[in-house]
Amino acid sequence: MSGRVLHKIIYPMAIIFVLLICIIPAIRSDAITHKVLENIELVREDGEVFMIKAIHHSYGNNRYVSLRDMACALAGTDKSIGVSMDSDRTLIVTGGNYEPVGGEGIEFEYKEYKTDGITVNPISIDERDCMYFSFAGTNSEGNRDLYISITDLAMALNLDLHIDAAAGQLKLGSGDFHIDFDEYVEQGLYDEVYSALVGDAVTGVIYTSFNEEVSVCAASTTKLMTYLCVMDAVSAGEITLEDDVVISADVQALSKTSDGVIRMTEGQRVKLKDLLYAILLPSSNEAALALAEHIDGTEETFVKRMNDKAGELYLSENTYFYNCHGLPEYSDTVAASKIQNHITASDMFVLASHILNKYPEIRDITSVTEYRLEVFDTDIKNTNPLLYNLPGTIGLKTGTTKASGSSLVAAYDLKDESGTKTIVAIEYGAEDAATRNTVTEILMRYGIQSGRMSSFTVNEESFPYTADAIIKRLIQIKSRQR
Amino acid sequence: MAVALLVYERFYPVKKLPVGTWIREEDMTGQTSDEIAKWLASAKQGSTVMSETTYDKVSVDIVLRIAEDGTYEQYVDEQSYTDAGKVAYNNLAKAFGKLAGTSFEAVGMSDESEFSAEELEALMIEAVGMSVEEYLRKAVADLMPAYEEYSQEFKSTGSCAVEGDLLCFDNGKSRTLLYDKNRLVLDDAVYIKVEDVR
Repeated sequence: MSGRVLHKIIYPMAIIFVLLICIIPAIRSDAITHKVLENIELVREDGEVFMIKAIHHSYGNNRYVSLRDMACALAGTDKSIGVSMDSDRTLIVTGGNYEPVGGEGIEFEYKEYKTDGITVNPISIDERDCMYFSFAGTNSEGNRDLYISITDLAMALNLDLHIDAAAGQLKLGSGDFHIDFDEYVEQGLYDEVYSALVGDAVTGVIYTSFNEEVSVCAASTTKLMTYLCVMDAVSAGEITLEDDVVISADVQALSKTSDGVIRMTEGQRVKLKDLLYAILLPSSNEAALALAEHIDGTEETFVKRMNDKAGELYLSENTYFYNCHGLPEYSDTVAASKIQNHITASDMFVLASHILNKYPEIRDITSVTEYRLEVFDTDIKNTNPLLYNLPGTIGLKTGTTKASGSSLVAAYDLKDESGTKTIVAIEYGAEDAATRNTVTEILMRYGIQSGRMSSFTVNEESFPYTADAIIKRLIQIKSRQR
Repeated sequence: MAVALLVYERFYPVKKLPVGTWIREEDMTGQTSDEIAKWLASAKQGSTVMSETTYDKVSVDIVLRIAEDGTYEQYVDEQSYTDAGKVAYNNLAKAFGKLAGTSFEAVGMSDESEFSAEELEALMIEAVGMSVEEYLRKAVADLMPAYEEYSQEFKSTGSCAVEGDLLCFDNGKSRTLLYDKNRLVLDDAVYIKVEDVR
């Protein structure tokens, strides 16, 4: 090899290699430097005071608190927890005793703090996997610590925790987590979202709503309408759940774009039932397209079916569909503009209630965390956080596009002596997944709280004079008979 | 002269007092439909059901009796009022059945927008302990105005006489040219002769 070759090829390659070595760690690291740190006092009901380290994430007062500091503060109370953590997983055991490892309760003394960035660090509470966003870092003693949203932590551990803004302290009561919803709204809960609604799918009673008639981008919550149309076609005998759906070239092409979720190959044959899991758990766009083509030949015809169904359910004109999966697409005009499926929270409530009552089997599909798709040799995972964080939740559907923000539709069967209420919580337009998860869990917990307090019984004294009242009563009776 | 008088009377007969019983229909379909719409409005599918339901005609007979001595009496026929009430509540029951079916379908509890009357009756017994009709008569008691109140609106007595070609009531308060043996048009209402009073 001549010196010229060394100069022209080997040396430049070596330089590039060295540069890559230097750059790669920077690319791989998601390290974030937090500049708004806080050492906040937590005052227990017995008067004991603890120092809690908190990171303000993105905005002021969006507190993520040290799990180890909180574990110390909870020790000796009936809400005490045991915590053990390594780089792979954090285990929390309620009722356990926390053994300090060093660094707890010691204030942030520095002006900046580095973590791995906000992500879903694996956490399990009492052996149940949870899906909370958190920051992982180390404390002053070099021990690993997690910083979790104070609201998420209060809900997860059932803490009576609130911030006394005037005193600049956290107050820990001896009761359980409780939602004073009016106060939450006053404090700006609804500022976080485009629209929201919580109600009972059985009686149609709405517990709270915000901008519920405003048309918002449906994103992947569209797939609930896709599911309904597929199930109606099954009911009508047009297709069966055991049908083999043949993957088309278009489906294969979609699966290989950045919007693809499961790689599919033209000519593959997939059971229709498996595709239902694929659209509802990981929100497979290509599976939705495959189903549409299987039923109606073309997506266009299937979309007409979806819009017709919207009409049959008396959904408003603010709800309409351009495609079967909810992805944005450009309109076919010279002045190209993005078009998206739209829906209102109110219409989604009708749609979700309809599905939950008519096809209760959706509970089985959307309540599993994982499902094996043999034909694709892959395990698909349910992306709905409430399924993990609030036991008993029926997943239903997530939805996210840039325009729609992070959205979520979930349900919860609340059983009591008067029967079963199915609480549906709908949230559209949170700015990120972490906010979506927290807000929707608050909404769902508020729905459960409201459902428990509303003691409707058929023999109640008040006579149902209005059409709305008698219809709700009839629906409740009919739901019990089912 | 006599022939001329006979010919004149043939074409221009002297008007006689239209003695006998006359009846006109008062159409209450619009009024009762408005009440049904008002009641349905609280339910989500109420307005759709209202627009998609066809209603039977609700009419009440208003009776006008003219005696030979020139006195008259007008009143509401009670039986026809009772019958009209039945039709009105049947209309309401039809809308209610449709509303129940549509509502069940909307929440995914039924495949059909109309379901059997028997099923609805059974549900109503469980829900309020009464039949559909009993419930509707209690819940929408104002569907028809009270008979006493309604009949007062039409009740009148007085005298009438033929003055030239005109039939005048109560010294000219109401008058009409348009009447013959079978029909009488008074204040834009058409009365039909039903029987003669001897």
